[in-house]
Amino acid sequence: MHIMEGFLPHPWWEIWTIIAFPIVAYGVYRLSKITKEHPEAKPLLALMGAFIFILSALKLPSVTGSSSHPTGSGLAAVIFGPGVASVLSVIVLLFQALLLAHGGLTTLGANTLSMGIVGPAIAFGVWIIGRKARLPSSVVVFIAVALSDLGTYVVTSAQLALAVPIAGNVFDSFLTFGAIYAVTQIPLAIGEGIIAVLLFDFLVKYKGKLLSSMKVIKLPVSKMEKGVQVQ
Amino acid sequence: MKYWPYLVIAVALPILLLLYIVSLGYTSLADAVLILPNETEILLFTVFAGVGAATIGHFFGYRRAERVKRNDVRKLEQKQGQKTINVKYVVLILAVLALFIVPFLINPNGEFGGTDGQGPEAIEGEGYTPWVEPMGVRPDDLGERLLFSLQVGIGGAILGFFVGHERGKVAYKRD
Repeated sequence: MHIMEGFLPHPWWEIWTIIAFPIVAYGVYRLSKITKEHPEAKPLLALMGAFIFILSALKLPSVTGSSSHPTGSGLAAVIFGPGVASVLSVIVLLFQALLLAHGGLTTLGANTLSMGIVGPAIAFGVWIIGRKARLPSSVVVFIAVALSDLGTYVVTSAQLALAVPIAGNVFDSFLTFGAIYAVTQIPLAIGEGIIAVLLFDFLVKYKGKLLSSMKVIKLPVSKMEKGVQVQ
Repeated sequence: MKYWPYLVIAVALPILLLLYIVSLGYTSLADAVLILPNETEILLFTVFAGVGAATIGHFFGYRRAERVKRNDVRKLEQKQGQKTINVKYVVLILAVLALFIVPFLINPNGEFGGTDGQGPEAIEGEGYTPWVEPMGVRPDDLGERLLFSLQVGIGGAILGFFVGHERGKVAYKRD
């Protein structure tokens, strides 16, 4: 993501902003609902914001010889749902657009759509399906987060191809941009998936009761009675 | 709680950071000895900030958990028992490290330019000029590094505090 300021011409930046706005508004509604229902989840919310802050500022190298950012929004979507992940992403993107000239205000809508909406939606979808299929949660978190990271950059490639078809037609441009963004992103997506699994397992171990009351995970009955941790 | 691991990091990290900044030639003390690609330089800055902030956060989080328990419990007792290291997590952490160190090894002279820059370059190469300039702060080189570090630092401090707090709560159990 992080389409630079001014790189989306006239109709497109408005379109992405208009699409992104209601979803972020829905996210704000979800956020207030969650903090009302589970006030004890606020530290967890801060943690998810912190996770996105860290990962989206790391310029990690890839085997292709270029570097890129992970997104971090996939794990937030798994735990809080895609709406909340979009709000957290907007905060990070605003920080980077205003202070770092990284991304931009006109492209905020497009960047929010890729990093804060489509990516988290993929993560959430994979998570729901994986849980239905009763796969181990670590495996599902890994796949969900890795695909969400990769999906973010596929969306960015598509957005750029639609707006500025540099290779003549939109599809060829999509492949050109995909070669720049998505291919570099593959090892990063795997890395982000693994980091997300580490944090998720930590949360299950230490915050299992909270996650279970938020219906993110189901704890076995015996564990519920004992409490996962010694509190 | 044990203070010495924090002390070691608190002494070692600023010294390393100082050496790093000096060797990159940002100060008038010495010319640049270390020449790194732009993005790699930023990555190392942010890693320093992240590790430092996370350590400080972990320290305060752990201590806070300890303080709360002190009022709560008559006798403090550190949880006994052998610390077990889960092989799964060791493998996963090594895999992540390998994933981001191997690129430097197989591509030692690589530029590692950011895709965030390559995309716009490809577009500008086709004769497109951005129609609006960035509106916010436009930091210089060192400013950019420090602001990226600030971003990772904020995140790292919160993450470290959370992890330290949770670990502290478990390390001291009720009688």
